[in-house]
Amino acid sequence: MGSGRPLPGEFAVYMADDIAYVAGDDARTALATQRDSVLALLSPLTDDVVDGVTYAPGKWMLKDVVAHLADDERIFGYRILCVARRDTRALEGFDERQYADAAGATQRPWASIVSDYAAVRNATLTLLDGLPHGAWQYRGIVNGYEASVRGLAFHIAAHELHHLRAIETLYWPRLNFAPTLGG
Amino acid sequence: MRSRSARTSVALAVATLATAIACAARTPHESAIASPQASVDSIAVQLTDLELRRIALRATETAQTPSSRDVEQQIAQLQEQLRALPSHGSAERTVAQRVLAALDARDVALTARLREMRTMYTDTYPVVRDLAREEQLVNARRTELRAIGDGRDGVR
Repeated sequence: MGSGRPLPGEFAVYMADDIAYVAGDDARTALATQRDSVLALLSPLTDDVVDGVTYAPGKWMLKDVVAHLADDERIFGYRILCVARRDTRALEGFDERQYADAAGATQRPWASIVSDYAAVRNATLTLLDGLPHGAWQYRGIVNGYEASVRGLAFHIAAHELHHLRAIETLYWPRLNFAPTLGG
Repeated sequence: MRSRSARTSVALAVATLATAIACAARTPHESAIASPQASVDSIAVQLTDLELRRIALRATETAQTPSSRDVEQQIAQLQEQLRALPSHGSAERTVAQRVLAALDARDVALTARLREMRTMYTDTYPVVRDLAREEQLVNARRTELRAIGDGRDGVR
């Protein structure tokens, strides 16, 4: 049985618009579909094509963005675990800029960043697969707001769509594609 | 020293300019009489491009803009040239069929893109909304042009 769409009050208010863009009424299906699309888009790229690619001075490099997706999902996956296991302690927030700065993604090979993204997504999916009946609607306190398990799972999907739009519209046109023969 | 490709480019530019000057000196009617088939082909190519641009603009804009007014004006001028052709009835049908074929191709592309987008995004997502609107406009225009093909109307 699917998760159903989260209702207002099950996720951070600032994510409402992005969550409204996530297709379907099942978090697991949304996350699996996204994984396939993102891997189809990013796996064929290489370090030569992505190194140094950003869309404006001071903005994250493409490698930072994809590494951020994995970091963010690890934290939200942990939050899902805590809430699904009935941990009543309030969970702390995190500073995504500090995490990205410390991650050193630009020094990592592209293939390792992409495979890390896939591993984290697969771990999220197996976590969701094993949820006991009724757990989708369990609630906890996360970064100062109330959230349900399905709200957190939709948050992951919505957050990824948000960055995927930026990847496709801002980063993609600036990739270092190899010059064509005779070009 | 100039390369051969540079000399070819200059020669092409001069030839294009000469053609443009000769065409500009003619009225639409004179141009049409000079070479009716060439005129039909040229008008068909330009109208096809403009019809697709008009639909794309209408799909994304809530009000008329300088771009959409410019496209409308160009379409109207080409339609005037079409009506000036000696056998304008069959010319209109030929052009309508070419535009229809381009709209059919665009519809196939839009349907595929929408199917792909809808696996991840809801219809409230602006890109999906615009693509869906474009698909509606393409279908509405195809219906109009089929009516022209049936001899019920002219290119508007």
